[in-house]
Amino acid sequence: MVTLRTNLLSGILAICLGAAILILIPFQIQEELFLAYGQISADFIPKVVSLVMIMLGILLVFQSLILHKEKIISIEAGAFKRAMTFLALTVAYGVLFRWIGFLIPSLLFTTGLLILQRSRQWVYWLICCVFPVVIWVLFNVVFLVKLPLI
Amino acid sequence: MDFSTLLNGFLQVFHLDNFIFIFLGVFIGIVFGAIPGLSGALAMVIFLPFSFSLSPVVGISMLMAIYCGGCYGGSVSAILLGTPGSNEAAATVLDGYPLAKRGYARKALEVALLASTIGGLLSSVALLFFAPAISTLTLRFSSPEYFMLAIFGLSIISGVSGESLLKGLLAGCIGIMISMIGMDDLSGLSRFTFNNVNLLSGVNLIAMMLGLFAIPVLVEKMENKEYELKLTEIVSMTNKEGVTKKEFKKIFPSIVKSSLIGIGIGALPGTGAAIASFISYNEAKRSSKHPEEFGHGALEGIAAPEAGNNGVTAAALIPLLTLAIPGSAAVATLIGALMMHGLVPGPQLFQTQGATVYAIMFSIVIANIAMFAEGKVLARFFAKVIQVPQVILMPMLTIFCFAGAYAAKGTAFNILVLVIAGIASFALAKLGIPHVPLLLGVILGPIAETNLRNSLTLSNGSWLIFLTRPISLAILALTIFLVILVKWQDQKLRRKTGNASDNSTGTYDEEA
Repeated sequence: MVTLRTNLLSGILAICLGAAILILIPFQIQEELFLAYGQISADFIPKVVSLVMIMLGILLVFQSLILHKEKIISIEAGAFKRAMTFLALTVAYGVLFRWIGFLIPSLLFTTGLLILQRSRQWVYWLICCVFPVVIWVLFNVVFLVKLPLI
Repeated sequence: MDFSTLLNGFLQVFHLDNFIFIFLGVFIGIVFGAIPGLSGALAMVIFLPFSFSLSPVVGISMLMAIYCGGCYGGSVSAILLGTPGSNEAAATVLDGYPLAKRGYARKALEVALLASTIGGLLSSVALLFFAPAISTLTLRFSSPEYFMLAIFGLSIISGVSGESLLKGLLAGCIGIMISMIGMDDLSGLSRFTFNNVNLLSGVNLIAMMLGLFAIPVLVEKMENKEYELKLTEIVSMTNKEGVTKKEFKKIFPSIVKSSLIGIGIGALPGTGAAIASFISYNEAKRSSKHPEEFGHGALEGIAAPEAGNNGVTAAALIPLLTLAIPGSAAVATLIGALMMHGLVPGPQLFQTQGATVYAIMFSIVIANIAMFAEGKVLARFFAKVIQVPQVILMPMLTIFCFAGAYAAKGTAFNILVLVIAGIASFALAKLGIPHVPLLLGVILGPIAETNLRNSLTLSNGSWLIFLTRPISLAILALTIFLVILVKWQDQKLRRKTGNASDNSTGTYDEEA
């Protein structure tokens, strides 16, 4: 069983994100050479928003540690493992899609997912193998959007 | 209202491809709405990339047809399975399932269909009537008013944050930060692009939405195996008895009243169909001569929530088309579609693209008629649809998402956006950080920033410009009023339903 203290974790995430953005701003947004009178610069909103994020993070941590207002969620280990495997498969699918196109990674992905779901029905295997081909034809012929074959 | 524009828009509807895609959209919407865990709003995101290969009228009409169909589709599994296909059908379960278990499944489905159709039609009429009128009023807006409108839109976060406003605000901030990625329109400087050319035009909205909303639904389905087991409990439709004239007469006043509730709630940003259906149900029960029948298969108990949630559909477009404020996640999907088709929502839309907008509005009327026809003819098919095994659903939907993300811009970089957004969205969902405020931040962030900078240039840096202009001040007052009203309504509803309509987790279907 995986348990998460959601308020505390959200707070820490908000502080880290806000701080990271504040650090990144000078490197990612150049200083404007000319600003009209009264105009705010391109880094104004990012600075304000990242400060608000840090503030919200502090409030969430305060809520969790001091006020003991916490929402704890438990994830069953099996469900968590299935979710992680699915996400890992989508990452692999995404990487392969970028490298070798749509069709082969799609077939590999459906195969992986059917194995993960322990499917033994041959009809499901057939449907899932035909489906990427149908989608490829649909996009390329009907919608005229070229999906990379390989 | 310019009559020639109206007529032009009306004539644009009558094209064969428009009708085909409206019928197809309704069909897709009902199917997605009927399958527990999926929703019409999710279908809208998945089919969004497809709409780009169609004309604006046909593409947007198809998406609206999906939305309308999805709202009705949720009632199919609510009635036959006792599990709402989507959150807006949660109130339908209360009387739909008991009636179906008594052997009147078809009657229950017909009541839901009739109520949904009437609710949707009245909502379309309200849209046709109110949207042009409001757009005329908003023509005098300039930068300060637009900025205040964006703030008004962002204030919706208070209504869609669920149990933690702090997390809702955090999600909104993350959304605004995502919208900052790319070239700044005013200064021409790049922001947070990490020297990546693909990021110069910003994060692709479609790929991000697919990752944000579709991937967590798929992961959730992967985690949850109970759905497959529940399929054995489907109620059969052997009894063919439908709704009699006498029964229809009895439920008609309730349908009209619930539709009006739905329209009112739909036009109010930050509420949504789920709230409309519960309020309609409660009102029908309160005003009924036989409240004791509710919960045991009362026809009004099915009609009221269905008319209420479909009453929201077109009315939700009123703030979107006139003020560029997306009131819910499903409607926020449309804002992406509209912008991709070159239709910029807001006060100028009726001036620049009047005929197209009217055509879309008339198409919603057609979509509701199509929904009635399909619901009547294909009732047995939709009853079967809820039995589609998850095993094949999962790979199909994932492949659809990937293909759609690629098609949105024709670049493999979008796949990366989809995967990162999907993983981030899954993590955020686990932490209870809602997705809808994030999307609101992405959409409204740039509008707020651009108009804030323009306003301050106009006022030589004085922030008082937002308080000295009457319309801007009025919008600010309205924002404060709406935040208080939505929070009050939310609290009241929670007390009444015991958190039944809690939309705290912010997954896509819940905010539809």
